[in-house]
Amino acid sequence: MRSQNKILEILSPEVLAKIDNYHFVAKIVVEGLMAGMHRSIYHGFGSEFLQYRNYSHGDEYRNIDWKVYARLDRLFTKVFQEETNFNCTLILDSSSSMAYKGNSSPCSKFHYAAMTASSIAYLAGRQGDNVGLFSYADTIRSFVKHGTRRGQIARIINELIATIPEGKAAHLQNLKTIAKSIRKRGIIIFITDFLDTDVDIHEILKTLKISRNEIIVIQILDRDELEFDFQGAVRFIDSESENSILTAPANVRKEYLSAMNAHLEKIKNACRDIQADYMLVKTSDNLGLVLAEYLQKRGSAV
Amino acid sequence: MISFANPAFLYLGFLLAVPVMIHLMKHQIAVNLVFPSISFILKGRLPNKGRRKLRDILLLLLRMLIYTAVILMLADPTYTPKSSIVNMNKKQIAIILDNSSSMSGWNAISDAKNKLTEILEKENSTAEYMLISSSNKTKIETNWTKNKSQIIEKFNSIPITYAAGKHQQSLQTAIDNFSTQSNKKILVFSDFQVSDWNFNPTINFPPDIEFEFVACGNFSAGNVGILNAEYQWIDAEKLNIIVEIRNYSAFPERRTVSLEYAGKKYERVAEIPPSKTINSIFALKDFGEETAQIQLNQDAYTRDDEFFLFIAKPAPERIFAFAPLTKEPERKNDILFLQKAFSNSKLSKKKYDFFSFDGSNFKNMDLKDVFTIFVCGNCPYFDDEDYNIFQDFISKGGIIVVLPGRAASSTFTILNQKKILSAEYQGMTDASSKYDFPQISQIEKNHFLSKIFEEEKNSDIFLFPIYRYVKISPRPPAKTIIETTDNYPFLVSHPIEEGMLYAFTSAFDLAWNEFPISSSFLPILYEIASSANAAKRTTYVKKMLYGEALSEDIAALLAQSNQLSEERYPQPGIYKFEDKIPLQINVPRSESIPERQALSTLAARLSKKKQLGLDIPSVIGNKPDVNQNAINLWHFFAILALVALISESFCSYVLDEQKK
Repeated sequence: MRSQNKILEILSPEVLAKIDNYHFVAKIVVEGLMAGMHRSIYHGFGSEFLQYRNYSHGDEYRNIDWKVYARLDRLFTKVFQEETNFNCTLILDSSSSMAYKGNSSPCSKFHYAAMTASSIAYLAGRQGDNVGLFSYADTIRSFVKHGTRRGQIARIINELIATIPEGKAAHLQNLKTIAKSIRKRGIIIFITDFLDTDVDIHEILKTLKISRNEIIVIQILDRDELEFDFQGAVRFIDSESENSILTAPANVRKEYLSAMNAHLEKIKNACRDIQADYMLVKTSDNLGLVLAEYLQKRGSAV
Repeated sequence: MISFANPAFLYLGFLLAVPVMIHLMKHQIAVNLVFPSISFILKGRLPNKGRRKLRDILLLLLRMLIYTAVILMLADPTYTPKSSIVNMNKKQIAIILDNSSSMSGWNAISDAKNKLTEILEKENSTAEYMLISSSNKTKIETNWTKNKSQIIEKFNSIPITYAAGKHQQSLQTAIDNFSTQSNKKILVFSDFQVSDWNFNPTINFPPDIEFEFVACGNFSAGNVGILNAEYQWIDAEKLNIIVEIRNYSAFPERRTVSLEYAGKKYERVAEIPPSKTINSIFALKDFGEETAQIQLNQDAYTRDDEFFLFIAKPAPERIFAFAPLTKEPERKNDILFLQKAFSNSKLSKKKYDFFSFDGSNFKNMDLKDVFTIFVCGNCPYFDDEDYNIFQDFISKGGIIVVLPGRAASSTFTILNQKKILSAEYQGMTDASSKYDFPQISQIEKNHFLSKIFEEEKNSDIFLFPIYRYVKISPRPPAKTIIETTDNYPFLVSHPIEEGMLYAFTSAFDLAWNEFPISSSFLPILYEIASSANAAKRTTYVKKMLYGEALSEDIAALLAQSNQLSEERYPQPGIYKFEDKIPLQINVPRSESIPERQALSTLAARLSKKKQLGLDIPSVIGNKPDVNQNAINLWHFFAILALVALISESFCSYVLDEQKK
């Protein structure tokens, strides 16, 4: 329990947000996660034994065959059969709306999304998955081709670092493009705030339903967007269109929440319809939960 | 009327708009927020638009009150009651002209007239003027008027008095005549002679009155004047007139002193060193005139170049002699010799009126102008009351000369008993023969009588025989003045307060001695008679300075004879009356001093401030100060701001709690 609490503490967005480097974040998150919570799941992945090899510095202790060591007094690492060609596709919404950070939030939605994507990429990379990245707003901003090569994770993370959330999200157009480039089976993790109300969510999500890919939709919202607890008079300026509306939040909160909940319900239903997993995450939520969901899904996908 | 010491702070009044603007716009000032979920937001109404809650209004009012109170406090307001408001447009100038005697000299008055014209030309036409003359008296010459010409004309017509200046009253008159709501100024035209202006002010000089001193005249011309003149009778027919002349300047001066007396004119040339006084003496014979006029040749100040002197003839002194002629007929000899001595003014060089009385006592005597009394053997016949008068007479400076008579023992015994003469009676002597007579042997060295016999030619006047005398033994305070060859006193003295008792031990009778027919007799008697206290002698002239108060009866007499000037005072001169002591009036000599009072010192003294150390001809005095009746409101607004602040805090807290 103590170690779990420690991990939770480590994985808290307040802590993680203070770390500028996504590389570090991902490593901390994943190692922390692996150390505490998902050991069994981890071992469940691609666990068909293949052969022994001499222990190399850095091999996981759990892969060491201790029985052999006891007998031979030598260290050998078990080599499991890896899942080859398992794709993990990260699709990241990098539109302006993702740049929002509430006053009480530890980080912006994009920062949270980037930490999430980094962590998943790191985890997938450790498992030998092919990880690729797409980020888009009005157009595709960044693309890292799937791969397992040395430095793949670093490339992904660097791309995330270099991405600045701006512009209006053109989901349909870009997701179609992305979908065409995904040829192999795997997991598509779509990280977005999905606040567009003038789009057909079903249609958008349907574009991802390709080649038996498992889809996880992670909707990241700020607490302000979910609770709308503003006071006084506020001129809300749309982050993507620069439209604005002057209103008294207290007076319209009820209507807002109703509309927001309806929208979220719509997304949820749309995800269900396409059999995609849906996660609504607040930027103040623990990142470990997100990853656990991923791992669950990852395990079932095997 | 409210005025502000720091009116610049009133410009902060615009800050009052701040709480109002905040109040009006509070709910309209929106925070701009870039928000991604705008599509979910409806355009709702702004809170409280068009509606003001009571809470907000109350707090608004309190905050405005705080701002207002603080701004007014900083501006330092003062409330001046309307009645105290000085109407700065209404200017009153009180002009004081010093018309004391000194202004007649040193071109002072012409200087004053010129300067007045210049000053009035510069003043604005709306000012009111009052003209006050100031010498020993104060007179409002012209009441408040805007007519400058009238002022100038009157100023030019004011006569210069002969009096010394007493100017505090004129300042007080000016102060008292200003109206309260005006811009006030006192303009003083004077030579500011130190003798007239070096006073400690007793008046309260209000701080809102400006004063300006206009110094007139030029004292650099200096002055020589007659300080005083006296006369001295040398004898019954000769007198000296002594004229005291003072040179006030820094250079030696030469003057011709003229004396007009008994139709003749006498002149002397006087050389007077700088800042010195000399006496110029005229020795004259008495021509029976009583008035002398002394003059110097005139200079910058002429009024002290003339002096009126009344020469009073010395009144004959009355010599009384008492002798019991009825009881002692031989006492007529004493009277006879005394009469001869004091009836011959050629011998006495003084005039005496000699009166003898037969056995009369003092009680019923008019002893006015009697300074010497001879008691020729009468002492045993006086009663106690007589002796009281006897002693009182001596104690007030008179001289009583006692001579023995038949009852010599009684005389000296009674005198001894009454402590009028401290001498023991020791009996009588008679010369045994005509060839063995005592004489005067010596006179006490330091006594004034010894001077009679100082000269060689008078040395034999001692020589006279004494046939009979009384033996007495004097003890202090009595002492022997003249001693006989028998070593007994011939003449003793006994002082009683201011006077003296003399006692001869031998009568003025040829049966007693040959003193009355000796050369010693008259000198000794005259010297004794003259030694009576001269201060007690009646003054035969009343000497006055111009401006000193006259008695009502004298003033009435002068008025009757039209000798009073416009100022109800006679001009300098001699005034004689039938039955009153004559008046001798001269111009006060304090007006002769050509020295100006330091004006900065005067200004400081009047305004009770520190001396600046400057002496300039014209000094601007006080600037008008804050009205004494004004009320400072600083504290009121400070307290108001504090109360409003506390109220605002309290209301804000209470109302917020209610809101919760």
